[in-house]
Amino acid sequence: MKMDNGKGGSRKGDPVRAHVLVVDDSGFARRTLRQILERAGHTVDEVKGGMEALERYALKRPDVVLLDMIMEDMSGMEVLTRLRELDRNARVIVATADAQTATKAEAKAAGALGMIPKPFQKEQVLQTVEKVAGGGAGWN
Amino acid sequence: MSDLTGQRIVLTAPQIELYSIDLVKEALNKMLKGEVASVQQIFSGPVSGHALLLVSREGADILTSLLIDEKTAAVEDRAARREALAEVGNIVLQGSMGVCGNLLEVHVSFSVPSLALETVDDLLNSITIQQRELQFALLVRTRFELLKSQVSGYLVVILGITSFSTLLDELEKWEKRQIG
Repeated sequence: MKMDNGKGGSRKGDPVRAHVLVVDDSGFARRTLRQILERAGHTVDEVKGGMEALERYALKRPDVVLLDMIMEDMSGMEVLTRLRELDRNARVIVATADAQTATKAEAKAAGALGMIPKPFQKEQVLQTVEKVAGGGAGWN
Repeated sequence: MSDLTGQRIVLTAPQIELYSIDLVKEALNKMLKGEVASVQQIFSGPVSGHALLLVSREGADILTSLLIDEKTAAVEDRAARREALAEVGNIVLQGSMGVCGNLLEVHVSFSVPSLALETVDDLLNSITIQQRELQFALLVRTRFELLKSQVSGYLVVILGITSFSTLLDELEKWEKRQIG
């Protein structure tokens, strides 16, 4: 993660520029997140499945993972558990349309550091990603 | 949906009716003619069944054009439109089912959304052939309208009798909790 002031240097208090791995089987959701994050200066990698997410994470070690909960090959909860086995410090934010409080509690217990509800709101996405990338938690 | 399309949505008060699958077909055929675009999600848990978002074919075209910018639409037209509609269905279905789940304190899990363009009869036949216990079903109808675009759609939840009975028990418990 870089603290970038846009002039080649970096100082404390400068905006967070994070490398974000977006994991979602919906191309529409991936495109939306990519646009929001790249326009704010973040770097985005995207995959559409759980297995691909684990491989990409191992290779690239992104600062933050934005993880959908329902995918064809593996549930988001399983991906979250396996990411945390791969790297105890993996910083994962769950991105879901599931409004159930039980789902939120389950994700929190499995080690997710925040949840972004769908449909995505630009400000909420950026605030949560930057908070989690900066070492905090993004739970509301 | 309002957030996604930038349009004000008007929802009608939900009507809850118990139908056999054949009569559900009849009721839906009166409201939606010809091919309909459907997003379907199977949900499972103490209450399980099928949740569907149904929009007329023309309505689906209008809805997707509101969701996709022209540049994207020109490049990846068909796939992008399908993905956008599936995502809207996913958001609307999980959002509404999730609110009900929270209210009743019943947690359900969802399958990956599937999108289809077919007649109401074909759609419901494919559901009941896969799961024969759904011969008798509960239908929850809510109509939504995008004010400026005149798109109407319906939310349908199909439950088997066992899940319907569990749902009634949970509603009774919820009512008791409300009274205290």
